[in-house]
Amino acid sequence: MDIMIQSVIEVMQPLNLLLVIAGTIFGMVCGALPGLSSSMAIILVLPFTYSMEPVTGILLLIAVYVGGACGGSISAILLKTPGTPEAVATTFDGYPMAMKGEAGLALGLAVSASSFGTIFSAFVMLFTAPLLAVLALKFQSAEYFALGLVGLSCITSLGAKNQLKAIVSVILGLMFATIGIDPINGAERFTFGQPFLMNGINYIAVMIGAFAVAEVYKNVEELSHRDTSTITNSKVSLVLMKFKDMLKMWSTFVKSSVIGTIIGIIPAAGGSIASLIAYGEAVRSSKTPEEFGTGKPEGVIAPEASNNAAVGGSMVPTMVLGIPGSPTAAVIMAAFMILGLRPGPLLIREQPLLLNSIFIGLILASILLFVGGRFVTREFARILKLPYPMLGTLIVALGVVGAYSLQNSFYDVLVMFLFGFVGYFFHKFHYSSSAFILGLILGGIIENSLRKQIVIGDGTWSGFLDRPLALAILVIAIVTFLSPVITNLRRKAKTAISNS
Amino acid sequence: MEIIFNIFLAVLMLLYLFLASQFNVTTVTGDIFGAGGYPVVLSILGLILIIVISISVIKNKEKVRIPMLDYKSIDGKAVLLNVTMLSGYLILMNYIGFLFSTPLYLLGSTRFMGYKKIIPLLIYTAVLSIVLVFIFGKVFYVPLPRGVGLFRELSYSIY
Repeated sequence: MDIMIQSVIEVMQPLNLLLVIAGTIFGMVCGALPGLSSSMAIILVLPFTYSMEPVTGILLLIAVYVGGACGGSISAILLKTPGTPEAVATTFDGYPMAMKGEAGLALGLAVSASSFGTIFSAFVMLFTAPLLAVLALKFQSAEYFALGLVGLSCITSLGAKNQLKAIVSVILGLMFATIGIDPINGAERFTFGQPFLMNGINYIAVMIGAFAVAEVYKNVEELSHRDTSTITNSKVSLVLMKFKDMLKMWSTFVKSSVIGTIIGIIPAAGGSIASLIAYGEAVRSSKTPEEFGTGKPEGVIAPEASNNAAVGGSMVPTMVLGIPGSPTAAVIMAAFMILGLRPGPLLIREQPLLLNSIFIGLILASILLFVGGRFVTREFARILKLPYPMLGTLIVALGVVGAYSLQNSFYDVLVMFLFGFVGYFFHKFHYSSSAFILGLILGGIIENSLRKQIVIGDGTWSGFLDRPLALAILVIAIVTFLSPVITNLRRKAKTAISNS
Repeated sequence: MEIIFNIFLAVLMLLYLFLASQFNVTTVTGDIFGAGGYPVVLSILGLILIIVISISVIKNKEKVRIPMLDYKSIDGKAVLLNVTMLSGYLILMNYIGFLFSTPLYLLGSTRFMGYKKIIPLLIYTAVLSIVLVFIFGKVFYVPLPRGVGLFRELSYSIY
C-alpha cells in the first residue's frame, strides 16, 4: 500500500503529469495519421527520455502507447483508413457508423472502449503479472498456430453474406503472406528477384489501398450521379453514449478486454491480432450477427477495448520476462535498457515503484483519452466538412504519404495503388477485403508456427495433439469457425420449413 | 463479368501453384512442408472454392456492373479519370518530387472531380501541401521523394 501511495505521488509530480498529458495527445495524433504507428510515435519521443528519470521516461512512453492505440480509431472511423494496424477491425463498423451520421457516437464508443480496456488490463497487470508471465511462457509454436486459427475463424462472421467468397479472400491473403524469404529454409518465395519483395508485402500499405483508395474510387462513381456534397453536414465531435446504454453492452466490453489482455500477454502477438479476435468473438456471440459491418456499436467497442487492453497485457511479459509482448512493447523494452532498467524477473523486486507507477500511468492516460479525444477528434472531424472532391484527394494524398512513410519506400506506394484496384473489384464482386487483410496479417504466424511445431515434432503432428493448451485453443477456433455456418444453415432450414 | 474475374483469380492461383511446386525440397529435417508445401495446399484449396463459386455464379446469372471498365458511362469516366490522375501523380513524384507533384495532383484531381470554386481550391491545395510536407518532412523526418535535378535541390531547402 505504501508503494502504491508513493507511486501516486510520483506520477502526480507536475513534470510527470504534464508528460503523461502531452504523451497521450501526441500518441493519439500519431495514431490517427495513417502510416505513423504507436511504435513510430514512441521512437520519435524516445530521445527525449534519455535525460529523464527512469519512471518519468517510461510514463511518457506508456502514455504515447495508450494514445496511439486509441488514435488509430479516429481515421478508421472518419476516413476508413486505419491509422494503426490495431484499428483495422474498427473500420468494419466504425466507418459505416460515420456514413450513417453517427461519427461522433462511434468516436465516443472508441474512446470509452479504449479507456475501459486500458484500465482493465492495468489492474490485471498489477495484480497478476508474475502469474500471467508463467502462462505466457507456456505458449510455443503449437499454441501460436492455434491462436492464428482463432483469428482466422472469424472470417465466417466477416463474410456473412457470402462465406465461400470470404474464405477465398482469406486464402488469397494467406497466399500473399508467403511472399518473401521463407523463415524456415531461407528460400526466396515469389520475389521474382526483386529486393523490395524480400521482406514480403507490407500489410498496412495493402490496407490503405484496399480500404481507403478503393473507397475513394467507389465514392467518385457515386459522386458523378449527384452534386458535390460533404459526407456529413452535421458537426462531428465526441459523443459519449449514456452510461446505462453502455451498460447494456457490458459483456462486449469485458470479453474484449479479457481477450485483449490475454493476447497482449502472449509475446509478439500484439493489439492487431487481439482486435481481430475480439471482433470475431463479438460477431459470433451476437444475437444479430448480420448487423455487423453495417454500423453496429459493438463492432467498434470490441476491437477498441481489446487493442487497448493489449497495451497493459503486453507490458507483463516485457517487464517480467524481458520478452516484448508486442512490436510496440519491444521499443519500450529498448527504452527500459537505455534508462538503465533490466527487464526480467528481478525488475519488480528491484524497482517496486516502477510497476505501480506504470499502473497509475495507464489509468491516468486512459482517463486522458476522453480529454485528448475531444480535442483531436474535433480537429480531425473538420475534414468531414470538406466537399467530397477535396476529401477524396486528401485521403489519397494522406494514403500516399502514409504508405511511403512505412519503410521510406516508393514500392509501398505502388502496393497501395495496386491494392486500390483489388479493394474496388472485391467490393464489386462481393469478396471481402477485410478477410483478405486478415489472411495477410495472420498468414506469417500461422505458417511459421505450423512448420516450426512439425519440425520440433520431427516431422510428425504429435506436437499439436500432445499439448492440451494448443488443443483447447484449436477447439475454440473450430467452434468459432463453424458457429456462423451452422447458424446460417439452421436459419435457411427454418425458412424452407416455414415456406413449405 | 464475374466469371472473368473468377477466371483471373483461378489463373493467379494456378500460377502460384506452378511457382510453389518449383521450390526446392526442404533442407531442414522434419519440415515436411518445405518452402512450397504450404503454398501448394493453399492454392489447391483456393482453386476448388473458386470452381464452386463459379458454378454458383453461372447458375444465378447475376449481372454485375463495373463502372471502371465502362469508360463510356459518366461514372466510368469519373473513376477512370481519378485513376489516371493518381497514376500521373505517382509517376511525376519520382521526377519532380513530393513537394511539387502533390499540389498538382490536388489541384487537378479536385477540379476534375467537379469542384469548381477556384480560390478555395487554391487555398486548400496550398494549405494541405504545406501541412503534409511540414508534418511528415520536418516533424517526423520522413525523407519524402525529392525528384531529380533542380527539384531535388529545391526540396533540400524545404525538408
